[in-house]
Order: sequence, then C-alpha cells, then structure tokens
Amino acid sequence: MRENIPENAAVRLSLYLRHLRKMKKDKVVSSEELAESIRTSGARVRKDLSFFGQFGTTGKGYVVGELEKTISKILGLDQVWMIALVGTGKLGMALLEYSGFQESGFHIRIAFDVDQSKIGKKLAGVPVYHPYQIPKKIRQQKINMGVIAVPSEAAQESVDLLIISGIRAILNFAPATLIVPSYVKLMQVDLTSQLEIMAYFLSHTREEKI
Amino acid sequence: MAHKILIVDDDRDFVEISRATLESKGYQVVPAYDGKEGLEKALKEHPDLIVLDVMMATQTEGLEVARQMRENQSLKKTPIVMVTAIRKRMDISSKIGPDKNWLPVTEFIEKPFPPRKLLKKIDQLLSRKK
Repeated sequence: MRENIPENAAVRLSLYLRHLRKMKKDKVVSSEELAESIRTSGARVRKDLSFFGQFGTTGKGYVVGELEKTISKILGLDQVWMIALVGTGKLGMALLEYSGFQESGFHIRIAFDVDQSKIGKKLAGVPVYHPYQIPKKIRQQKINMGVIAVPSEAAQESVDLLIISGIRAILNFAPATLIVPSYVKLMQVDLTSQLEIMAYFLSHTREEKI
Repeated sequence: MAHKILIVDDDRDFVEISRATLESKGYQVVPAYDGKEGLEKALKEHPDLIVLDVMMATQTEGLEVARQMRENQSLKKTPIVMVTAIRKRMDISSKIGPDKNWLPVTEFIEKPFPPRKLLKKIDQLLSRKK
C-alpha cells in the first residue's frame, strides 16, 4: 500500500462502500457506475483504488462482494473499533442512542460526564464515569477512538486527557479549536460553522437567477 | 548573577526538595503552588527557566499553563522543564513528550527522579542558553 494517500480518497472510499453495501454481492460494477453513485468520474474511482493495489478486471469492472470486502479492509472496518464518549448531554445522548455506529463496527463502550446524577449509571446501555477516570477506563476497555461532545470550555481538557491516555483518533463535536500533537488525528464536526457557511452561501446567491 | 528558576507544583515536598538542591548550587528559586500563581510569577519574575508540573488543580492543568506561557512574548523562549507523575499515578502505558503546539515545553521528566537529575537538566539547558 502506498503512503501519503490523499485524505479525500479515503473519504470517497467510505462513500463507495456505502453504495456497494446496497448492491447484490455477486454483481459486477463498473468504475463508471460507482463514480455515478457519488457524482465523480470513473477515472477518479480507478485512481482512488489504484492507491491500494490492483482490483477488478480491465474492461469489465469489480465484483461487488470482493470490492466491498477489500475497501472494508483498507478502511480498517474488518475489525471492531472501541470508542469512548466524553460528554453525555443532548448531543452525547443522541450519539449513544444511534444504532448505525455499531452496524459499521464502531462501538461506544464507555462514556464520561461530570454530572453526578449520571456517574455510575448506564445510559443507552453504556456505563458513565467521571472524566477523572479516563486514563484508567480507556486502558481497561482497550479503547481506540475518542468522541468529544462537551461544552467548548471543557473540550481541550477532555482532548488532553484522551491523548495522555494513548488515544490517537478523536472526533470533536465541541465548537472549539483544539490543539493536538501531529501524531493525533482530530476530526472536527462543527455544526454551527457549517450552518454559517450555508448562510453565507444563501446570502450571496439570493439575487442570482436559478 | 544567579540564575532564577521558577518551580510550579502543588506538591510542596517536591518544591522544597528541589529548592534546597538548586539553592545549594547557587540558583535562586521562586516557588509557585498552582497554575495561576505560576503564570503570574512567570510574568513578574522573568525566570531563566521554569519547572512545571502537569497535574495540579486538574489532571492536565500544567499543559494549559505551558501553552499560556508560550503565548506570552516574554516567555516564548524561556526553557520549560515539565515534570509529571501522571503515567505512574494513572497507570498509563503510552508515553507523551514535548510537542511544538500541544505540549510546548523544552524537556519532559517523569517523576519520581532524584533531585540531581533535575539539577543536571537545568545546568544543561542554561549552559545551552548562554
């Protein structure tokens, strides 16, 4: 496998996989058909896949089941990923209750919150501990990833604790700019910022004819 | 003139032992017992080097204090030796170390260590600074 694969290629792989999952396993799919599913080009699909080796038959395409299996392996989805959630407010609860993560191999195993009424209880079947226990529980539960869903003022401390505990992949929902070392992959989901971008888009295209 | 060392740690025993060791070798020591006091004294006293603990009021207070120190122009180049018992106290297996943005310190020493180790490190850093 080549190194320095563009992050966008990995994002597209995830989208190809979503499409492949809806198809019959023994069907043959062409790069053009796969491209159409995410509105890209066949050449782009072939290039994305070429980063990871030779797949399919020239002129024919890819067997859906085989390609699905290969992409799952490339994305590391042939294993179960254990997740720790920090923050069990409304957003955290929505994440805990969403069943789609488990179907894709992502299991939220433990949660942390400073709310005394939640500590020691289970929320959506997941035990809740005080953030003070992050290092200990992450080690015990063999956690691979962290998700931050705390208010912005508590986000950096939460991420620091996850990093000290050995977590190297973090998804952040807090509206805060977080500092992480270069060896930690931080993904940011900033809903307000994305809404603001849409507001900007609408306010600058309002006068144009459709 | 004696070099001035600021020691920021809520562990008073550590501060006192380090202070005795450093003063016996001619250093001037300024103690601070929490992050806020540490930041204030760093700005007021202009130390030549800062010794800073990670775990104080919170488990990661020292990290935030180090970042705040680095944001201040007058402390940007002051060597910071970060000391911590966090791995031992919390039984953490992964190691952490200085990082340009996340942990902007010069050196990282894990507690416990003999006072002479800190002395040696400070001697090295300050001779490099000359």
